[in-house]
Amino acid sequence: MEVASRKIKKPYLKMSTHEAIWGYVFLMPWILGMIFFVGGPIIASLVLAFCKWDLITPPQFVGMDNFIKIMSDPKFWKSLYNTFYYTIFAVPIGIVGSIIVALLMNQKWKSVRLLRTIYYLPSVTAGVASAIIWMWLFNPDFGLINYFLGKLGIKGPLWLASEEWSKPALIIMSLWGVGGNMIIYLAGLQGIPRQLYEAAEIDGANIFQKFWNITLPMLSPVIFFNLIMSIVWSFQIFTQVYVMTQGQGGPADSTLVLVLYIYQKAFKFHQMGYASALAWILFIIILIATMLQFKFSKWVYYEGELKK
Amino acid sequence: MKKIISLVLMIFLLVFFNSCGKSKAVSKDMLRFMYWGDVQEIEIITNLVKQFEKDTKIKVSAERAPSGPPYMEKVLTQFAGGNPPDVLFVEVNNFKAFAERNVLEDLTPYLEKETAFKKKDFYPQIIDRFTIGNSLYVLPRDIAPICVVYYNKKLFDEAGVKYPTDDWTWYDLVKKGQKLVKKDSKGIYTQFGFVDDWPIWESFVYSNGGSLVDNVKNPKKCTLNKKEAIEAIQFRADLIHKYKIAPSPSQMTAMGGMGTSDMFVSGKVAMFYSGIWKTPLFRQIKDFQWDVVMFPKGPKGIRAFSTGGSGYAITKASNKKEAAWKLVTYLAGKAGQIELAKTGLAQPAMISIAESKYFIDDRPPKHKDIVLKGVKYVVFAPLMSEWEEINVSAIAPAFDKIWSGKEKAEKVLKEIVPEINENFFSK
Repeated sequence: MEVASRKIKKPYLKMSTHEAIWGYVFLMPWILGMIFFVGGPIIASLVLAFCKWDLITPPQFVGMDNFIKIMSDPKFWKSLYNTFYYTIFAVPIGIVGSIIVALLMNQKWKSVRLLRTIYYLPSVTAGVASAIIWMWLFNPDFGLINYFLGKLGIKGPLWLASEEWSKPALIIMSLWGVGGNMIIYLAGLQGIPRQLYEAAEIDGANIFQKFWNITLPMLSPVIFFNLIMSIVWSFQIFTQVYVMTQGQGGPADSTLVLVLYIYQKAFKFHQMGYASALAWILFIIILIATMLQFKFSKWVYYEGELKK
Repeated sequence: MKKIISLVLMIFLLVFFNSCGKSKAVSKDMLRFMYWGDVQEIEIITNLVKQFEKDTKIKVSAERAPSGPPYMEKVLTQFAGGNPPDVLFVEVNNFKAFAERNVLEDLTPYLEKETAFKKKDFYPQIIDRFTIGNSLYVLPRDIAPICVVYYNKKLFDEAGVKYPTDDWTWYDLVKKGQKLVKKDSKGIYTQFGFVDDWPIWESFVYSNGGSLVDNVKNPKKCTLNKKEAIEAIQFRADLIHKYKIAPSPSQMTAMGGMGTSDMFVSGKVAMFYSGIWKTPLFRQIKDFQWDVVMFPKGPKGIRAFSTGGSGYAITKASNKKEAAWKLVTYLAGKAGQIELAKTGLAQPAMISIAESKYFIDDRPPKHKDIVLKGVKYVVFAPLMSEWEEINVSAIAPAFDKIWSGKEKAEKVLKEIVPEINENFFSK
């Protein structure tokens, strides 16, 4: 009887609605945080981008002034150049590096779990701590990197103390973070159906053919995701540079990246309006970069599309 | 179901808004005071505040932030939020940012009524710095002439070099410095002759008869492209690359994050140029004897150097100004100055206390009184809120090239000074 009556009783809400509501309830802390702590400031910064504001006296509306000034600000162009330089090298190197590591970590070795943990560890290390470690590694006289270069008979550069080598140093350091992307690739690799490889093996495909014709296409949505995220993140590089150059972006502005410049303008020189305008320009650059990637994303293979 | 959702929401909002409201309610009738300082200063300030609370029954909420940009960030955020503190700590350089925006109270009438001390009790130099027109905006706490060259007696003795005396010049600095440098078999420097706490190039410019701007109190143009300034900046670079007595920026990097004062403590440099605030740290040195001497005179016999200093200001927005002034008198008054003097961290702005046994005590350095004489020769940085930006964004990156030996001072300065004048002074 009990069972029967339960069956007859109509559910209060449809199952899917019910789930959706609970979903939002669980999301509430994040949504509220987003609205109050992120959404508000985002809107405020959009307004401030058209104002002059020193934080002490009330903001003054100045129209497009900030944007016009930015266009002729050599520091802005320098910081934009530095940011692009970093992105153009760090992103491809990071993607290739993390795929290679993910492929290695996808083998059935005994200690592979331990190795995966070791590779992932830097991603959960505090940015400031790892920046300090890298300052030691890059030490021109006593650093590990120049020590090994010395063993090979190469006189290592001054790295962070040199105008030419400071950006390459940051790029090398970015490789330290491959573990984070590696995990995502690893999940992607493990989602590739085994039978595809078996079929290819029967057809006599070698390891490179399998990689090129199966692994890479099957992995392409993950690569696409990582590419977009990596570009977004590398445009926003800040912590390492801030720590390693004491907030200066030196030597001689060679590591003055855009976010560091925004920080300086906002919190060192107290020009909130100008800094907000810079931040919105950065947002627009990232937006365009992301849209371009979607536009040219024909190379991405979605298995699901075939089923439709 | 809906009930549950609304309940969850309500609880969340309740907690959220309640926690917002609370912090305001607590501080409403309290006197709010913002400051920075290290451990010893916190103790002094906490004690003074306690005494004030006991005497006046006015509650104080004293908030501290680390010095430099973090402090400014916190204070400015409070201003931006329309909730500025009643009393705040300012120094000779960030002072202008507040003063020119007209947010500080003119303290002159308060000081005139004050019985515990008079304007003339303070060093006129720092009073003058904090005065714009006829209004004094900050009651000085300390003045910090950057005139102190600390020297390691043991390294001087080992090298058979005579200790420097106050009448020494740049020339003597180089001559002595060259005898105090040591290298290992691979040619890596293990000991340097001289290092400044940070690139204190301003003092070199001043003591060569140069200047940063045409008029410190009302700057209209940058004058770093004059001959005297160029020579002085080149001389500081020459200490590194020509005379090789000071570490280059890359040699500093090679110290692996060791600060310049650590170099002095560990005997890696014979002379260290800074202000008197390093004394408490150096008093812990066990391995060698040390003393201080005044920053050397320039080639034309000019003595001048850069300076710091700080004090207390009251905000115009404060609705408890009388109480705020009372607190300031506790902080900057005699009791506070004596406690500060005893730590050795800062030179009290009140002359009688700076000259008293509380500050010039029998602990090392033997010639601590040089800072008393030094006050006469101080030159303040240009009084304009943009100077920080000029320094960080235009001067420092360009000077990096001079310090690294890549370019000559003359070329760099002839390039950047017109730009600075156009970007910051053309208004």
